Amino acid sequence: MVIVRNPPWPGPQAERQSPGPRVKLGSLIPTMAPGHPYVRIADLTVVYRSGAGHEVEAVQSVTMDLPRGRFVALAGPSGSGKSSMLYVLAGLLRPTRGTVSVDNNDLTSMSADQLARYRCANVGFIFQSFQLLPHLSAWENVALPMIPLGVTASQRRTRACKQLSSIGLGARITHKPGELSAGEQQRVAIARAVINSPTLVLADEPTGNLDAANAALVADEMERLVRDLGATVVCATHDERVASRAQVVARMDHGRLVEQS
Amino acid sequence: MQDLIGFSWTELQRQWRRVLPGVIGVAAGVAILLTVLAGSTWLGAVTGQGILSQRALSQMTVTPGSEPTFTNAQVQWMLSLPKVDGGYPIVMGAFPAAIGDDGSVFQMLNLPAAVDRPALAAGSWPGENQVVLPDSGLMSRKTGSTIDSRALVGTTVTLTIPIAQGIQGSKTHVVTVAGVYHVDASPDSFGMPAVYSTLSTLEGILIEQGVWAGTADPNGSAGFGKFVIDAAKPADVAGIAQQLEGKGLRPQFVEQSVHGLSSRIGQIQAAGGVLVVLIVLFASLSISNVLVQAVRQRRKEIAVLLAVGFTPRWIGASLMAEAALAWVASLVIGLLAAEAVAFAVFLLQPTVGLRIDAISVLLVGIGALVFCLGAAWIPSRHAMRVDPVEVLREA
Ligand SMILES: Nc1ncnc2c1ncn2[C@@H]1O[C@H](COP(=O)(O)OP(=O)(O)OP(=O)(O)O)[C@@H](O)[C@H]1O
Ligand SMILES: [Mg+2]
Repeated sequence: MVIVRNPPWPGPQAERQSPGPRVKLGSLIPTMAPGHPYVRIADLTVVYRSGAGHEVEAVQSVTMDLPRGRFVALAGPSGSGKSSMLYVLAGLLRPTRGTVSVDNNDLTSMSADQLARYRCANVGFIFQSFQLLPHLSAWENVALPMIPLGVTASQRRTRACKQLSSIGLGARITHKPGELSAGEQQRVAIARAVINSPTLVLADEPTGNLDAANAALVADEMERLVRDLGATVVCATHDERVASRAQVVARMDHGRLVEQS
Repeated sequence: MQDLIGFSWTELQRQWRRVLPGVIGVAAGVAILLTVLAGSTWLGAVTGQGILSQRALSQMTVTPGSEPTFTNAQVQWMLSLPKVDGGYPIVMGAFPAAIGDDGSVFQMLNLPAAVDRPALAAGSWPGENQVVLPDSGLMSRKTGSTIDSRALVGTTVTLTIPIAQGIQGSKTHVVTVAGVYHVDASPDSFGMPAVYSTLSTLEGILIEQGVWAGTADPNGSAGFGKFVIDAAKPADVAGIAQQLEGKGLRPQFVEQSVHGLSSRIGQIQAAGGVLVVLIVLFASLSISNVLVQAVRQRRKEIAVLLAVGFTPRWIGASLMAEAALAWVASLVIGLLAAEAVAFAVFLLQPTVGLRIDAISVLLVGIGALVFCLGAAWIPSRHAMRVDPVEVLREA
């Protein structure tokens, strides 16, 4: 049982988040100075409190800016707080202290529903264990994030199939995850993460369950996201081969940011 | 909205095996409620219209009289009367009677409260609104003088019928005296080919038939023993009459009665109520449990949905939508089941008309919906509170 110690949040500020589903955060801010940080993390602290009363400070006062449209690797040993950072950036985890803003939008002041809409329109999440829904086919998995946006069913199918074809899985669209190899599953998961053209792609050990060849494919895919979509990719990884391809490497240790290049 | 329902529909199909007991439970509740309501409506209509207008009676009171008795000729005459329900004529009413000095005839027999039309009460008599009086004459209640009933033939008299035994009040009906019959009251007519039965013989036959329901009125006002035959179907009543005849016995006063019918309605409703409460209880636990389990099992799925941008509210609503879809299925199944029961009842007993009316369906449907949504409420809150981080870490 995770109990996150919540600071008193300011109430959700009146519709900071766009009400219309397809409106991107970026489009609310028309111009941005080059080099303006896309993600601003200030004094970010995440404390887990377990049932037995133990407190684990998974992230400790991390302050970091990430530029727009870069491939960022989040490196560090196991337990250093990488996943926690990603969950906070995804709006899935409320930090105990500090602020996180993406594209000048303060995540810490959003309501749960606002965060969900933020995730839907702006964030793509890639997991180590793919997290595909086993009862849905490949295209249905890819199409899932379009449902909250109100995309029609036929549009969803068309777009999902197109996305799958573009990554070479055109012959696999009706396969269930159980009928796909690990590498194929991860590519389906990537297709799902990017189907709404997110500006922020978060990947948590995306190559952890893959062999070298598939890991390289996934890394290629992430580079392509940065290049073609202009997305900011933040990838938590142990894999030095993946980290070496990143434009920015942030190293964490024991919850602290120890190095950023 | 369309997506929400489509999504919930897919989920429901996937979970149908586990949702089924709940759906069947609600459907059974719906079916039983509808049947009980239709049955009550029918019984209400029966008792309201006058029981004798209905051919489907399950109860008959046999009152073996010790006097007066009838000659064989009179029995023959009674047997020649048009049959009712394929059984024996309802011979009732005017036999022991008294006439008031104002000319009104006092019925000494109890008639069912529901009999409010002489046409019905006299259904087996020579004609509607006609009575046949004993030729022994009638005694005026007031003066004690005897009136020659033969003098009344062709005249119109007012029949005063007590509403029911033990109930104050009476109903009056204007009837024509169609004729007289002979009452052989002489002592030596007793022991003649019996047209009455002794209490013990009747009792024996009724017990043999398995329809003995006890003596309703061993010392009735008229001094007769009264037996209640608790037969399941009118056909049984006819069968008993046949049995009696086979033994050379004939009930002198066979009176179809609503005696106990209202308590029967009460019993049916009480039994139905208990059944519905049990079923609803079972179904509510089942649905709620299934949904709680579903949420537990689907935690991972819910976490993934939250991670890809579904709002907690959407997740909660999809569970409520699942319950609403389960409700639709239950209502349809329950309605079909109730119609099937009504049809089966019709096949077994064509005179019993159970009609499932729209108002009942509406009321029961709304009740079932409230109940289904109620059962889904807590699971839906559970679903909304799933912490995606906690679940995704488990994987
Ligand atoms: N629910 C929890 N309760 C208590 N401590 C937790 C909880 N979740 C994570 N932690 C702790 O927080 C710290 C950071 O965890 P986190 O998953 O962010 O690290 P990580 O860098 O992603 O590790 P890995 O490389 O192994 O995935 C770890 O020490 C972990 O044990
Ligand atoms: Mg991790």
